[in-house]
Amino acid sequence: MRVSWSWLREFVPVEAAPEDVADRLSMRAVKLERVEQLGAGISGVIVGAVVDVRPHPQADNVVLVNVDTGTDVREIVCGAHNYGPGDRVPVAMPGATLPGGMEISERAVRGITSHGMMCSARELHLSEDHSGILILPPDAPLGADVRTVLGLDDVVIEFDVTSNRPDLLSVAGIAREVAAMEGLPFRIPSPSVPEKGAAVSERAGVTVKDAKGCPRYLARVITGLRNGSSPGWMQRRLVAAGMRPISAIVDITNYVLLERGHPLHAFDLAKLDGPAIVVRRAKKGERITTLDDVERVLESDDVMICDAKRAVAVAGIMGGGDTEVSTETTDILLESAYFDPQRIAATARRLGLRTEASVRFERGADVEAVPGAADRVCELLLEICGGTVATGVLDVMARRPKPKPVRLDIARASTLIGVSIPAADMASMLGSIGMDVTSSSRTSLRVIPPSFRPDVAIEEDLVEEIARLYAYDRIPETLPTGGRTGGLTRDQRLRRLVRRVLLGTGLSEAQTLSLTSPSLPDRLGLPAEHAWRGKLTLQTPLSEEESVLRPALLPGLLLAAERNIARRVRSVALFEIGTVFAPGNDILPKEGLSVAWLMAGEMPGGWHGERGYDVFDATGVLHALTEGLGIGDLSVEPSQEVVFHPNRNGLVVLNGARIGQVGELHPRIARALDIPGRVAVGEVLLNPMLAAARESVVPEIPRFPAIERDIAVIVPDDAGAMRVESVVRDAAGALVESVQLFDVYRGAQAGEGQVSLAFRLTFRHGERTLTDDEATSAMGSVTSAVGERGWRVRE
Amino acid sequence: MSDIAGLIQTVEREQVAALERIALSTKVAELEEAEIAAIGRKAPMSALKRELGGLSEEDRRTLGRLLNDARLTIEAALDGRRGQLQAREEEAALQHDSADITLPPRLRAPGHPHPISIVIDRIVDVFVGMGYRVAEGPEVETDFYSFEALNMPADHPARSGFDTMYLSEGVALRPHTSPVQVRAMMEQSPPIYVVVPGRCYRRDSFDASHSPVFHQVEGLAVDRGISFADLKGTLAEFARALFGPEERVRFRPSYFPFTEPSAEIDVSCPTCHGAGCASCGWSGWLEIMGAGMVHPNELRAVGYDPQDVSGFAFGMGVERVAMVAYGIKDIRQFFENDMRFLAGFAG
Repeated sequence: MRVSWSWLREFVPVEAAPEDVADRLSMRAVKLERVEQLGAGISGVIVGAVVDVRPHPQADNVVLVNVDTGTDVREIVCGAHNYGPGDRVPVAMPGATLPGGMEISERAVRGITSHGMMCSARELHLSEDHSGILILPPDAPLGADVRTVLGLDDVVIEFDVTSNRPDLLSVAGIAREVAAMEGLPFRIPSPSVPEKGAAVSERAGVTVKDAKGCPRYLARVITGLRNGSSPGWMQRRLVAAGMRPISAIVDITNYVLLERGHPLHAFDLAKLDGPAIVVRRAKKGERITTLDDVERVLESDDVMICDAKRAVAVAGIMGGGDTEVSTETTDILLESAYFDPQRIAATARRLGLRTEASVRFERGADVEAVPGAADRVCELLLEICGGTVATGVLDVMARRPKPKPVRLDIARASTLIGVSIPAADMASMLGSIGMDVTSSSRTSLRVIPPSFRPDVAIEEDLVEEIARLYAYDRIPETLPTGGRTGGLTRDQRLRRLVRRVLLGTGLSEAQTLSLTSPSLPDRLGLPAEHAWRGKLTLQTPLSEEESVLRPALLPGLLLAAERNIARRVRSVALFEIGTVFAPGNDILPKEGLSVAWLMAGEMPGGWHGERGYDVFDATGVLHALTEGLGIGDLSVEPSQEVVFHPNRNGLVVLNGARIGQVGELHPRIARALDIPGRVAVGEVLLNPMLAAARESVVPEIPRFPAIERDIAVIVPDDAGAMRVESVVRDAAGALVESVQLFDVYRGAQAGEGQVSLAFRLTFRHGERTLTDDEATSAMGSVTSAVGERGWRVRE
Repeated sequence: MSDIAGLIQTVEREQVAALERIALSTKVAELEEAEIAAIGRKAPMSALKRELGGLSEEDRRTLGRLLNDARLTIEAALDGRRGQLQAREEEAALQHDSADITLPPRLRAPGHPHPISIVIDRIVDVFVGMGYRVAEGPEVETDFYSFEALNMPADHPARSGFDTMYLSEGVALRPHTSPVQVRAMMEQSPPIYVVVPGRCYRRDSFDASHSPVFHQVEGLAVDRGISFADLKGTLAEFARALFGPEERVRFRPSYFPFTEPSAEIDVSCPTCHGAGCASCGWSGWLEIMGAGMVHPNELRAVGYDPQDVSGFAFGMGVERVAMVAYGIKDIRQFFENDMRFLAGFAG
């Protein structure tokens, strides 16, 4: 809401500086967006009159305009078309500056020099309107500085009004808050309307068939109007508020909308069939062409304003083109109504049509403001357009809403705010913003909120009013006194540990989007059925790119790696801990916590010998996790999985359950993402890992010496070191303390397709010194177990 | 048989020769040769020793002592010289065993945490320190938890598919962490003090300040006698802990469906401490969160009695806080995972 200072001061005699008042108001009522000195940054822009408009010989989208500036007639090339001969327009002369620092010079547009520029409201920072050139009042003197003509000696304050406060979408509403805050009187004059001639009921009729959608409809008829341009002072205020002047009648309805916050609509009486107004539900599929020349298709929940034959307006949102007021209009039917907020909101949203009227109706207009707003329009019409107001009003109201009193418990209000405020102060604060404090006792107040405050319905709403008027700033800072114990749960602690462990391995932490593209698996060349094809698709996605809930974290890390490599980052080492989604049995999907890691590109410090990553970096991270969490019984089993290098990957198995996959990315997929070299990746479900994590225990340090024996076993290449180790361990019996692989040899002595794995076995007895014989006997068992598998012991 | 004087002379001559040879040795290997020549089995002195038996009692004693003294002298000289030569040789060997200490190290460096995680942990830790538990919940929620229980009736604008990403009828990615408040309250009776970190989703296109995926931390305290002043004190404490002891908060009136009274909270700009600078748009303040007293409809929705207990709730965007804390200008940087961006973060 943009409010000009001079307008505000019509309702409240505030003398303080506008910036100070705006700042204070931001702390008491409504958020301040900005304070603008109008015309700041404008120089060299003067009033010109359009002489003629001709096509540009080289371009269809621009025209040549001769403009009379009072001292010369100059040719200007212009891209807008909303003006004609005689219209007064702002002309930025060569050398002029516009807000934002833009400087205007003579320049050629498609071969023809433009001797200046005609400006839109946006170019002068008057509003966001850039749909055409700003048309100035016809009495604007040629050659005059537009700053004077546009009343740019004013200050405009822009507020960000929250959706619960429709009353603040008006100059008067803001003024009421200023008055309450500054302890000043708030005055809004009651309009006086001299009525003449025939009764309004003889000129038109109103029937409301949809009283739910339209609880109140008031019409007045005004005849004999002259609809020219509105006066400069009115145009200036409209422009400052961000609206475009159109014609006197329309401008007056808009002016009253801004002044009082109540939207109004003027129909050309001559174009209304009947003339009668019928308010009803729309028929499904019914069509109307609105003022903006767009054909709208309606639904049965939409409230329609019709005449005797057809729809003439989408209620509370926009009028129809057929009955639009024009410069020829002399007689109008003025609508001042109250529509159901939810119905208007639904229609406006569905039509994608947000207007000054719809915004106010959907937040809740003031049903009691209906007659006053109409009268204020009549008063201004008589003053500006002449004419006669027919006697009486057509006021159809199903049932006047009864104001509901709200009881305020004084002690409770003080307790909730946290500071003791006397009842009398509460009453006077509430009174200052239009609340009717009808009775009070020592313990409570009975408060009737004004009709323009639909947001105030319960005691807590009053508590908020008191707290903000008392000033949030003045409320003390205390802490809750109740005793309590905070802390992290075991899982929360362990998750932090997992992060620290992974950071310790040199991986940096990533946060990738949980929404992925359904086409990513295709890009990676994955089969039709694959775990990385997410099965949960959004009904209302923002874009196809972000429409599927991620079933795994690795695809996101792959994209991050791709982006890094494309940006010439040479080394990528990332992990992510995050939620993954799968269809569930319940209405909600199944959510799991996953951890994934990826290493690609050059290894930092690679000059030491290892220049790139491989599968053992991937398993190394897994090892760090199991060591960090103290998980003993996790194993990696060779497997086939299409996204991995077929011979360099494994399933991660914990307590018999498959919880993830680790290895090297399939080179084909790495190629698809332009990631060079081997890409080490892994992903495991975190919750089973956390569940398997063990608590700290104090280990027993052995007191008796150990015996170490080495054995090298020659096995086929695909036997799997972990399996061989477990065979060795099992055969070695109860005395074996540890089995450690210390050498892997492939070559002539092992034989083709064979590998020699050398293990160091440590034997120890907890209670006594072990004998050589015992170790030898255990090693004998190992040798026979190896033999039983068809493996050989390397001599 | 030579006379004793001759033998004595021989010993003395051998000793002089041996000491000279030891002193002139330049390598440990030469020294070892000198040792063999002087006191080895075939050395003249060793031969003499074997001849002692043929001497008179007196001569044997004299010559024996002489031989023994000579041997001790030679051994001492050998040890001394050996020590010198070994030290010299090791020194020479180390000269050849050099490393350029300024070469890049074999990597043992940790990676870098994500700024969002750092900020979440820091915020959570402040509240854990004030006695809050950490509550978490699903990222996909039903309308009941996301809206209805939060006093956002079916016609509330945020509930349309325009702002919320729906998966099916009544099931959507949570647009805020507030459903977890509801779950927490339904699971336990007051007093309740929880802080809720988590991922949220809104139908906002990516730009410098919007992301469809973002993070929130919100807090909830429900107890007997909780007041707006308690909310102010709690958030003032929080701002000091997170942004620094000089920083202050200020409360402005605002509106949220799930709180009444409601407030927006600004923190004094950590760059200029409120004086006004480029990073706060010369206002001295940065908006960081929304808060208020829990709406009685929400308390009733979870079965609490608003006449018996009251509470406050607050919620902040983690990305927003991180942008303020680190001076990050574009929210998209959080989700690009550029290694060079991440390298900036520690802690």
